[in-house]
Amino acid sequence: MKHTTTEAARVGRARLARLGVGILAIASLAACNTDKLVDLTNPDLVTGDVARNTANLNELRNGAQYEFARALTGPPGNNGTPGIIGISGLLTDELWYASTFTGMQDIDRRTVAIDNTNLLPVYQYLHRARNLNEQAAAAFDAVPERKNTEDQAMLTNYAAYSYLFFAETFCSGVPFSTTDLNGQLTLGPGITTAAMLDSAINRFNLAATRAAAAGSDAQANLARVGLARALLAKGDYAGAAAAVSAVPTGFEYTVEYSPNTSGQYNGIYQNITSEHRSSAATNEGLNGQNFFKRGPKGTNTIDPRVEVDSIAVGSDVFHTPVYQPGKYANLDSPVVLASGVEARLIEAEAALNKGNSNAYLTTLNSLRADAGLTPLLDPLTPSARVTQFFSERAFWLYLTGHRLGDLRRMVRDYQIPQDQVFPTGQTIIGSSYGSDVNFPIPFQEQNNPQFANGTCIDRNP
Amino acid sequence: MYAFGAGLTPGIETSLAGATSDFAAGETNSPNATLAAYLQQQFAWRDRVFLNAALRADKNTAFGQDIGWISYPSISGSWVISDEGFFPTFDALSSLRLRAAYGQAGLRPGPTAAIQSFSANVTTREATDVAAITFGSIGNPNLKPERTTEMELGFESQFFADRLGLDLTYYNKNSHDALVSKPLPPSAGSAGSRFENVGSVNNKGVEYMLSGSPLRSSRLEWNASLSGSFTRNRLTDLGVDAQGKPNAPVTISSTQRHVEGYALGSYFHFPIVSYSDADGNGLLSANEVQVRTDTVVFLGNPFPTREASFTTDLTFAKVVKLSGLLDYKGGMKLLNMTRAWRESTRDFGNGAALYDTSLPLDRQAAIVARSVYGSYAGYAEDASFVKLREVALTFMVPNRYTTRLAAQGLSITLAGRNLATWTKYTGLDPELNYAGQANFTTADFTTVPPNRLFQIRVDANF
Repeated sequence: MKHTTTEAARVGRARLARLGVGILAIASLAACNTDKLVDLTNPDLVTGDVARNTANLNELRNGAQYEFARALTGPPGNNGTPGIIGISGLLTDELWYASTFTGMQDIDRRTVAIDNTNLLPVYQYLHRARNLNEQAAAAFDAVPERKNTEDQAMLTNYAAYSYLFFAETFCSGVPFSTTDLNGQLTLGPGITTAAMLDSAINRFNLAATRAAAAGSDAQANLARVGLARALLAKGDYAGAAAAVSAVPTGFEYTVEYSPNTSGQYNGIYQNITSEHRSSAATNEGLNGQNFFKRGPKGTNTIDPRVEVDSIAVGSDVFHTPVYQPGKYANLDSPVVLASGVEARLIEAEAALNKGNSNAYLTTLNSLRADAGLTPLLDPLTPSARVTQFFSERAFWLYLTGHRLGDLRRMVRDYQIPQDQVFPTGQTIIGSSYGSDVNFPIPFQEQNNPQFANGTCIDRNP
Repeated sequence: MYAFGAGLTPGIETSLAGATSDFAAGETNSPNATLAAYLQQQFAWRDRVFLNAALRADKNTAFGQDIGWISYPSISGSWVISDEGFFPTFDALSSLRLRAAYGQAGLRPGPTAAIQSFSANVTTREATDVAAITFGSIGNPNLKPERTTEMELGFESQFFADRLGLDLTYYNKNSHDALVSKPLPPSAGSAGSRFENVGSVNNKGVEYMLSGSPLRSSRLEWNASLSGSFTRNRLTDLGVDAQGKPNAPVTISSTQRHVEGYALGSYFHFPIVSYSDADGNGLLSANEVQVRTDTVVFLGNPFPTREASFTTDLTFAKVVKLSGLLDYKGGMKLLNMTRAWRESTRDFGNGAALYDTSLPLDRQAAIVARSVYGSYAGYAEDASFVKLREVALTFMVPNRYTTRLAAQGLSITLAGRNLATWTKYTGLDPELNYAGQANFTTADFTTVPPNRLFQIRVDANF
C-alpha cells in the first residue's frame, strides 16, 4: 500500500516521536541514581567491611591462627598435601610416600619440579598464613587497647615462623607480596634465604617486645626459640644460645587441632592414618635415620621419642608399609612448634661449635635423663659428634618441621656432602633419588611481574 | 540450601531433626540484578534495502563498584542488489543480497567476581571452637564487562532457481577488556585468582556455506551442504599494570599461557633443543637429549583454526533416505598427557615405549624430555582430524500402509554415530579434554572418548 505524501509525513513524525520518547527514557534512566537497584547484598559473603571492623579483631586473629595451623599440617581431604611438616618430612628421612600420586612420589624421591601439583598448596598456604598474620597484627596496631597484647605477639610470632619456614624449606629467591584487608595487592621480588631469615629475626624481635609488654611468658619463649632457630640457620651459634638461655626446659608451645570440622583436623594424621598416603619412615634410602623397627604392629618402637605403630599398607601397587607416628595418633593431636628441649639442643650445638664437648654431652644427657634414656658416650671425634648431635635432634624434634632445616645445615655449615645426609640410592618403591635439598618456587608465581627471574636464585642448601 | 546429619534416630530417618552428630546446614545465594534499556529502530526501503539500528545500555550487580552504565550500539543493513534495475541480468543468478553489520556486545562477569569477600571458618583456641575470618576473594572494583566490537561483511546468493546457494561472511571481532580469570601470584597470600580485564583479543576470519540440490526429480532427490570457517585468534594486547608497565604473560597452567601475539591459551613449554643416539644402542638416554629448562617456547594453539562440515542426504522415491555428516577441524594441537603419563618415568612410567628401540627418535626424545627435564614439548600433538560423525539410513513407510495402523507417518532409521576418525593424533580421540575448557585449560588426560553408537529408531505419528 502506498502512502500519500501527507500520510507518509505523519507516519514519519510518529516514528520520530517514538524514537524521541525512547531516547528520553534512556537518558532519564541514566540520569537517575540507579546504583541501589543493582547493588545487592549477598548474605553468603563476609564482606571487607566485616573483616576491617575493629570489633571483629578476635575473629581476624582466629583466622590468622587457622591459616597457620593449616600451613603446618596441610588441609584435610582426599590426597591433601600434609603441609610444611609433611612435605619436608617426605623430602628428608622422616616420611616415605605410600600412595599413587606422582607429585608426592617426586617429593619423596627428591626430584621436585616447579609444576609439581603438590608444591603449590604448601607454598600458597604458608604465604596465606604469613600474610594474614601480618595483616591482623597491623590491624591490632590500630586499636590502642589491643596493641602490644599477647594476641598481637602471637600473630607476630606466627608471621616470623612463616618466614623461617620459607627459608628452611624453599630455595633462595622466594618473593613476598601482600594483600591488605582492603584487597590491595603489593607484589614483591624474590629475596635470598639470608634475607628471609633476617625478616624472621626482625619479627621475632618485635614479637618478643610485644610479649614483654603484654607479660606473656608463652609468647616470649616462643619468640626466643624462633629467634634462636633463625640465628642458628645463619650460623650464629653463640647468638642462638644466648637467645634461648631464659627458656625453661619444660616450656612447650603447641598449635591446636580438633576433630570437630575438617578445617580443624591435624592434616598429618589425616594423610597418614586416615588415608594411608604417607608413612613414618625408617632407614630411608642409604642415609636415613634408624627411627624404628619395621615389622608387625606393636613391635616397632625402638626409642620413646619416636613412637610408631604399623597400621596398614599403602594404596600403591607396592603395598608400601604405613606406620603411624604416635605423636599424631588423633585428628586433634597438637603440633609442638617450639619447646624448652629445642632450646637446650640449641645450647648444646653452640657448645659443640665452641669445641666444648663436655658441656655439649652434659646438656644432651640431661635431656635424655629426663626422658628415662641411657646417657650417650662421647664418640671422641668432631665429625662423629656432629652425627651424634643431629641424630639426637632428629629423635627429639621428629616430624615437627625441623629436619629439612637440619639436613641443609649439615650440608651448608658442617660441609657434609648432600648425598651423605639426605636419602640416596633407591626409594622404598625402587625409584632413584634425585639431589634436591629444598623446594623450588611453583610456576604460578611467574604471574608476579616483580618475580623477574621466574625461578629460584639458587637451590643451594 | 543443604543440611547434613549423621546418627539419625531409628524410625525417623527422613528427618534431620533427630541427627545425633555432624549436623551441618548451609545455603548458597547468588543475587544478581541487571538494569537494562533497549532502543531499536528498523527501516525498510522498497523491500530492497533494510536497516536496523539499536542501542542497549546495561548496569549490573556484577560490575565493579567503580563502573557505571555500559552501552552497546549496533547497526546492520542489507541490500538485495540483484533486484536493482542497474544490476546486470545473469540467467544463473536467482538473487544476490549484500550484508554489512557493525555492533558491540558485552560479556558480564560472574555475580561475585568484582566483590571482595572473606571466608568464614572455625578454628580451635584453648580447646574451644571459635569463628575465624580468612581471605576469600579479593575482588576487583574496576571489573568491567568484556566489550566486543564486531564488523561483518558478506553476501547471500542463490543460483539456478535456488538450487544452489553460496553465503560468504568476513568478520573481524575485537574484544577489549577481555574477562580472564587471572591466577594471582601465590605470594600475595590471599586468593588463588581473580577476574581481570586484560587487554584485547582479535578474532577474524571467513565463514562460508555452499548448499545445493544437484538432483531433484520425482524419484530421486540429493541435497548437500558444505559449511565451515577459517579463524584467526590473537591476543593483541595484554594491557598495562598500575605502574603503566606492560603486563607479563598470564600463566594459566604449567603448559598454557596467554601471550601477546599468540592465540589465547596457547601451549608453551621447555623446548627440546636436540637429540641424537650417540651410542647407537637404539634408545635415547638422558645425556643424548638436550632440553632448555630456562625458557619456554610456543608449541601450538589448542583451538581449531579451520573447520568444515559436509552434510548430504539422498532420498529415493520418498521411501528410502541415506544421510551422512562429515566433520573436519584443523590447525590445533592437543597436549597428550595420557601418553606422557604412561611413558615417562616422572609420571606413571610403565609404558612399553620406554624400552622400545623401534620407536622413532622424536618419540623417544619426548619421553626423555618429560622424564628427565619435565618438558611436555614432545606431547603437544597435531590434533587435526576428519570424522565421519553420522550415517543414517531411513525407511519411510508409505502412507497407504501406515493408515492401516491408524498412523499418519511411520519411519525406521538405522544410524551409526562416531563411525570413523582420520587423524595423526596418537591418543584415543583428538577432541578429548579433561578440563572441559574451563578457563582455556585443554589437554587429554585419561579422558573417556565418546562412544561409537549404533541406533535403530522407529518414529510413528498417531
